[in-house]
Amino acid sequence: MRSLLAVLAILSLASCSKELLCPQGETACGGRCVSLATDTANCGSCGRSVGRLEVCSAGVATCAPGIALCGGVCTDLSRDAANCGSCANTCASTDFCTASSATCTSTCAADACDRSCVDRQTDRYNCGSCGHACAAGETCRGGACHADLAVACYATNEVVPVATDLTPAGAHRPTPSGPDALTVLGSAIYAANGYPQASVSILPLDPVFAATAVNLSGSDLEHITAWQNVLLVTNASVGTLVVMSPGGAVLEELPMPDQTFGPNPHGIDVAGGVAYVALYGSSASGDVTAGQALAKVDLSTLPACVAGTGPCGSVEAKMPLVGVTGAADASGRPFPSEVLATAGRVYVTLANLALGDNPWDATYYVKPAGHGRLAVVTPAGPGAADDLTVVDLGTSCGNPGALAVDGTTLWVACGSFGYPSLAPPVLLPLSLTSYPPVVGTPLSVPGIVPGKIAFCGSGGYVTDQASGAVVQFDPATRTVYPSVVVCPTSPGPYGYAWAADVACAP
Amino acid sequence: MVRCLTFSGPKETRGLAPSLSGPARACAPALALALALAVAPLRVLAEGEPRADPASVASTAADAAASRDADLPTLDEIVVVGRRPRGQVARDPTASATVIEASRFAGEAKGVAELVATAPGVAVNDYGGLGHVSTISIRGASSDGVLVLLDGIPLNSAFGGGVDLGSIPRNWIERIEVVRGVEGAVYGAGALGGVVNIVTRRATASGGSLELGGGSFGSWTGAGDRAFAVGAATVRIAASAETTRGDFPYRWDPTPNDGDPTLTAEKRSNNDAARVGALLAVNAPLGTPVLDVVAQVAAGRRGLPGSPYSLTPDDRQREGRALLALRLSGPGPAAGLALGATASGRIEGLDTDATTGDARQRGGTAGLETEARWTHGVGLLRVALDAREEVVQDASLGERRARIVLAASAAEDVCLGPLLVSPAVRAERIGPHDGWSAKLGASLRLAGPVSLRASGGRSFRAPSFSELFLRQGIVAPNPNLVPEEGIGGDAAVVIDAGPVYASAGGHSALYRDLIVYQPVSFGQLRPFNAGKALVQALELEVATIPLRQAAGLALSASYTLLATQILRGAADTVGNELAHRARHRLYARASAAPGPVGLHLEVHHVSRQYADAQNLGLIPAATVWNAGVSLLLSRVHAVSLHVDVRNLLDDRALQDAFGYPLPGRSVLLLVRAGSPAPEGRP
Repeated sequence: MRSLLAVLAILSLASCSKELLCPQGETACGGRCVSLATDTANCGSCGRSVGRLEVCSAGVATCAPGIALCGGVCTDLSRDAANCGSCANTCASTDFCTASSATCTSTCAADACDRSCVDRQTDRYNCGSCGHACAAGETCRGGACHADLAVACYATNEVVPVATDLTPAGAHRPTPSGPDALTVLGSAIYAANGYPQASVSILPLDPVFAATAVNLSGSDLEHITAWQNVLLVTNASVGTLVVMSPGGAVLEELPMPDQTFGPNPHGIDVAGGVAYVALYGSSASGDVTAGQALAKVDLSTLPACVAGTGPCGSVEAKMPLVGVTGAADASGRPFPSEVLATAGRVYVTLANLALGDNPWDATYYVKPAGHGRLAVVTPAGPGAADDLTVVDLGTSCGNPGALAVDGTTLWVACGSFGYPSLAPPVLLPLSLTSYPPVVGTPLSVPGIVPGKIAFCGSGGYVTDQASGAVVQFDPATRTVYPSVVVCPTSPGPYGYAWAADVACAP
Repeated sequence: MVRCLTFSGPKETRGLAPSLSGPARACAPALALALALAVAPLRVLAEGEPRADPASVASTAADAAASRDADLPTLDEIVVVGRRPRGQVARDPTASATVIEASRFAGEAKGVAELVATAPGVAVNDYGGLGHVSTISIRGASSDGVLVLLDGIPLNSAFGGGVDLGSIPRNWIERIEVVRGVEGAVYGAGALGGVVNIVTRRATASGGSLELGGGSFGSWTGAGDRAFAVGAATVRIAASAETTRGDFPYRWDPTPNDGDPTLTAEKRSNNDAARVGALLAVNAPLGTPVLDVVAQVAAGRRGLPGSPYSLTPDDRQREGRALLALRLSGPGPAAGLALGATASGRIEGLDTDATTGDARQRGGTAGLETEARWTHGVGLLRVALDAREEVVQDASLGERRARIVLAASAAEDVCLGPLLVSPAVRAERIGPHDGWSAKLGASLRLAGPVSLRASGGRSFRAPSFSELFLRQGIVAPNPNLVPEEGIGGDAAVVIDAGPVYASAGGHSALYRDLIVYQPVSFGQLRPFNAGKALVQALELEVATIPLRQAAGLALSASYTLLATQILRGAADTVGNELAHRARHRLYARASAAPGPVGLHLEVHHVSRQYADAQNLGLIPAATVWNAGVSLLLSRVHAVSLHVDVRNLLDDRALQDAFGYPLPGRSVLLLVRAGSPAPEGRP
């Protein structure tokens, strides 16, 4: 018996080798996946770290931007008192090298770090405290290292920080599962994660602080938005709206209308203290018991809820979209997708989808039935029926999805994953200076399936539903820049990438 | 005579110690059994022949014991209280196996899935209970990696997805053999985790039975069978029907994230199910050879109610299956040689009307198996050739799909004193996929009631048609898949001492190239040979009659400690447990039969398990108690009344592993009359 057990043990040990699969372009180093091309701790090969003033570029350690080479050594001419302003220009033994001017000074009016004179609120090599250097691509703002943008990478379970030019900006922030929506509240980015287990990640903007996550039931969180210092999360799997505190505590969970029949809540935004929730419903054929409607949730009791003395809200009404004049073509259904509230009105994209043409999707509403639609809701106040107007988005926009506003222009992402010929990839501007909004000239974004949109500073960004790419565009000049792959491709021959959302860091 | 460990230790309580000592443990009876198997009727091919089976030796002792107790009015429970961990699984005498006698659970509303769940190493996946789909996992393998046989005929469809154990009428069952381990060399490719062989009641010379019952949630059941002689042949016919409205109340949480544990009461709708079945078995001596015929038809319909968060009130499913097998067997031209040939065919259909799309799936298989068994000096050699064609038609497969399966196998049982060694090898071609399976098993009688058994082997599972070609909704096919591979070994010590039977064993299995569905884009899944997993387990089984003379008290239990580990995958999955594999499973049962009354109480406990490879979602532990009372009303016609209570504590928040509600407390009242006689009785 003993010998047989020994054989079993040997068999077990022999077969125990683990095989870590990394996203494409990454390598397993010390049990984690890293990019040997850019990882400063594993530059070119596992365990080969770069110096403090170096970055890893294409797998080779090179001097960081702004850092000079003095005698073959990367040297910070702005902060090195022995090489202040130029190589070998040594400051007096008690002087400082001033970062702002790269000159020697006897007194330091700002913050002194060693023999450099810096502003720790903005200095990338001494951000917040002496010696705390920001990662390549990050900027030091308010004494903390920040990326400019965050991109939700669904396939590899992470949020990737990038600079405004979409170059990497610091370490990837892992999430428990695939993040598909982002929002910013206070000093943290919040990621709503879906498959396989729903959760909300709290990612402090300053990566010095650890990320945390709160598990939720289900496997599909569709949207997250911040409003009055709470988070509103649509849980599609269980058909609820979850109200969370910034710390991640669930304050209340509100079942959506017809919850047991799968209302599948998607986008959400708040106007006049009322949350409008897009109830997408099921894309499968069958009757429409739930979905294809808007739910109105009265959030007037939210202060009491936050104080722990009352409910967060209550479902006020369900606004059916089926049968609304112009909401869909005869063969289509008005699936509401995203919601945006601005300037007193609520805008909802209606996908107007028909059953697919192929054997595998013939029982699913996935094919654009015609022009995309935009529902415009003018809230009438508590207890009164809202006004609902439908805007035809025209021939250039099929399967409209995400919405974002830039000034007085509303931008709509249009395109189809499976039927690109019926819904070419465009960003459609609508002027909100008039009512109903006026459809502008579409901006073509070839090569991608437009996903989520964000405006950060003067730049616009749109994600690709079909890859890990993000495209930067200028809404003023209508310039579209080449796409940049931000999200890695998941491991194996089956790997894929999906840049699911993009958010601007404050 | 060379002494050798017998093929098994049948565990009828009455036959334990006296019947299994001495000659019954010698090689000669074992080989005689093997020879008998070779010339025996069809259903004996896989399980044993009463005349020479060690189990029948036990039965003889049991009969004697029964005759001593003839003046005691008893119910089934008192007669058969134990288990047959390896008894009668003659096809692989060194395998880790459990034989579950259906008569032990007579009068209880237990289907195949629930009977199988009493064995160690087994996990049953329910999809809603009450006549709905149940599939089985053995030793951590998926339901696709478990072969399910009905009287030795494979039920696994080339379409894939495992066999719905709920599709087999429970009234037909005589016993179920659960064989654990990588058994491809003996039973054929696909048996990565093990094999379940469901043995229907045999055709006896005469007798019949009738069973009628009704219970909670509009459940009704009726079954009857009759055996009679036609000349030299014996014929058995059986029919069964059962139906349920399935409208049970349940409790669920509409707001599972808010920390408020308050549950809402609902009633399940569109959860009805109905099933009918008929069976014909003929055993006809044709001179020296014997012809056996088994014909079975079964059909059913059910509602598909959906999850509590996404009800599907209009989704329906209908299914049907017909199976015909003919076996001719007899002695060969040389001494010790026996020949047999089995022709079998199966057709089946599954219609689904669902909001996600309708499906009309048709399939079938037809084949011929020829076998020769040669009993020689110290062993028995079995050589077999199999050929069959499998056909499936479904719009989602793109076209009609068919493949030829060819197999050649050889197995030897060699008796070396107290040691029985059983090597086996099998080569197969399944469509374009070639593969081989091998196994080496051994049994060793150590001393007195203690014996040891061990085995190791490897096998493979060819990709199913659905994995290769299915394109439906979010699922895309992958025609480039290769077979999964399993390598495993196990060892166990068995103590078979009078009123106590105990078995303790461990196993380790490595599964490679596992076919797992991976996202290839948002909302699109595709199968790949991406998985690799290690499964290790401890399996314990015990049965005893501590106080048989005092009210016939009998106790039995099985326990499985299952440790699984993902060996290949992304950083957030490597080292994690496999999804839907509970670490602990316990089944325990106590029964008593004071006079004409029978009582039983049993508990199933399944520990928490993960819902995903990332080990993020937790499925909570579940403990279910069942109980029953039986009363013998008339010994003349063996009329008995049974009350079976399931989910005794009425846990209405119980869910299956996929979040679907399971019924709360249900009661079934059943009246039975006539044979089959209780186990061990004449």
